Amino acid sequence: MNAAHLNAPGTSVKPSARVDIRHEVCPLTWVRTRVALGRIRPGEVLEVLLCEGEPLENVPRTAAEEGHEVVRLERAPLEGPGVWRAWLARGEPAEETPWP
Amino acid sequence: MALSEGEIGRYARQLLLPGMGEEGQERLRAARVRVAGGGPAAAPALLYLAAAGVGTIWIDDPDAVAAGDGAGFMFGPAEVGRSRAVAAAEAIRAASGLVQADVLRPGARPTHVLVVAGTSEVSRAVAEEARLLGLPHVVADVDGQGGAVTPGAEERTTPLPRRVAATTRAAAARARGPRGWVRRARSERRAWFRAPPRSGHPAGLHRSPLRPRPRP
Repeated sequence: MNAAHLNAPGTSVKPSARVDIRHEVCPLTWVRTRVALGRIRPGEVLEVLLCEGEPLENVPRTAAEEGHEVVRLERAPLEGPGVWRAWLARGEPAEETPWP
Repeated sequence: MALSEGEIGRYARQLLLPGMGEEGQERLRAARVRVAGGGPAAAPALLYLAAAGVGTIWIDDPDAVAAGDGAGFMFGPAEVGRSRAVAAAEAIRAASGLVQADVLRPGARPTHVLVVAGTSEVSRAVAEEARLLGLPHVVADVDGQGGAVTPGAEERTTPLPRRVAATTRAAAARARGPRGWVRRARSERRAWFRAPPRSGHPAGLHRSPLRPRPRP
């Protein structure tokens, strides 16, 4: 799925949900992001507030590896020093059978 | 119902498993497992079920805790003489506050059955009951030299609701495998021992081929 249009100038797309993982450590940073992505529909956007360092390196990368799209990744100085904001568009669910 | 923050934190590692996610964890939470047996072999299984997040665990064991049951890591010396089922339920509740554990009561309707009974007769009876009810069940048979773990699921004769029947058929197909997993495993064991087959449980309660019984 290509969600580049969500980041185009003039678009007024708003995130459907928001998750704050600034106070989490690995692996809960990605766990909480993944759970939040599972609660929105494919194509909708999740806003993630995360800190520099491990979360900034791993969360957007893992999201892309699992089929989601990083629509926007920018600093969020109003949220605090070293805080970043990521917009993740949920990809289509993978072809896998839920377990058990 | 969505997972709570506490549940997400508790089950974080397994939520990351492929195919698991929040939906799989919710299904584990919705499961009601009857565990037949509370002895030293059942105790780790009970603790693992609780740690995995199975929502309801019913223990079915009429015996009392024996001194040797401490080998299962769940009962201490102070529990000797108490009801195994009651003591196990208390231990599970102490280990995980997210799980409901209790003694199996009349009228309980489990969704799955785990058989870790001490004797083959009890194992056969409980497994047969589960088979007739169409409940996915696993039989663990332990003896002094090894053991066997056998999955089993069969359709019951009375029709089930379509959704439940499809789930049961899929579970039975998974248990059998493309060429009949259970039958193939039994025949392999027979060939391994070069011995006549024992009259056993239809799900197959046989000695593990990994630990053959020494021949006289």
